[in-house]
Amino acid sequence: MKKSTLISLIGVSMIATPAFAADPSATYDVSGNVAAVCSISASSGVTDFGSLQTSQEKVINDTAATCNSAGATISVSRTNLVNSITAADGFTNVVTVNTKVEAGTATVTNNGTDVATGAFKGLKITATTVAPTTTLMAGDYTGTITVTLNPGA
Amino acid sequence: MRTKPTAIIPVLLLAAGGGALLSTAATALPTDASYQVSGNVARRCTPQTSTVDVVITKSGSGKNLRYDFATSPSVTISCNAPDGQLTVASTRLIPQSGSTRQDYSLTVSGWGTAGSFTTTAAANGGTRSFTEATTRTSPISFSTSTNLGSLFAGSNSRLTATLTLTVKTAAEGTTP
Repeated sequence: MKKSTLISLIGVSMIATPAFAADPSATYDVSGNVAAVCSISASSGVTDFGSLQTSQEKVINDTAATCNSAGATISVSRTNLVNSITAADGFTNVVTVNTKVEAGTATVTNNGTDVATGAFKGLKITATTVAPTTTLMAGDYTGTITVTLNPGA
Repeated sequence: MRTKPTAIIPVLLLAAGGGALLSTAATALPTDASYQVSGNVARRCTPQTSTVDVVITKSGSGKNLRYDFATSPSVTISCNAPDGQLTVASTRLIPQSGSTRQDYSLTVSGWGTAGSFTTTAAANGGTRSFTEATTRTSPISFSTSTNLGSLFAGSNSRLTATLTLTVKTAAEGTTP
């Protein structure tokens, strides 16, 4: 008896509601979300400084790099240019590279830790080699600049 | 009192939706990319060409007669790749007084295997090359040979010669 009574009451109230509503409108709240994400591709290939006997500067523009969060941060690490041939006594096989990365409101240099960027699209890397003070070993030199984007919470 | 169970249902749905939002934000992870940079250094020796004036003096007499450099030539050469080749060329000796040029022998050490050469009138001097198998920087030493005694005559106690040193690697200007 109790179950049937309850069902009856619900049925009556659902049917009866429109008939008694003074205002025939209703508000439906809708919502959605966009996750905080960053993307970066580094698809620009190898940036070649050419001869390392003098200081050189190269700019890498990564127009596709982006973060959509106000809490995004950026950090950078780099390895110097190194020749795989072991340096003879009195020579060096390392060329120092200084890096500066600009994204959004942030500028981070060399092996810099996280710096707040805010949401941004596109980043600019400026890499500068330092003129050697010790004679460089002949050969090819390679290095890497790694940029890390953190979308934040 | 009996309507309470129906009111609980939307509350539970809202709670589930909130949990989904928190879960999405927490999965956003750092992302990184590496940019490769490169450069090169060509084979090179320094100094590529160097000229040194040497002065040889006579001292003593009889059994104590000696011939030496007035000032020992000092040249340091460097090659950043193996097989650097040093070529030493010398003019004949020019006396302080008079115009008769004389030949002499010069020993070169410090680059590859030490060796000597003798200037000749026919070549109006002399030359010899030395190859160093390793990458190195090294001072070059010079010495005159003992047969200089026969070259000096009269009051010519001071003679000069000009050495020209040329250094280059096997493939100068190219990258190994």
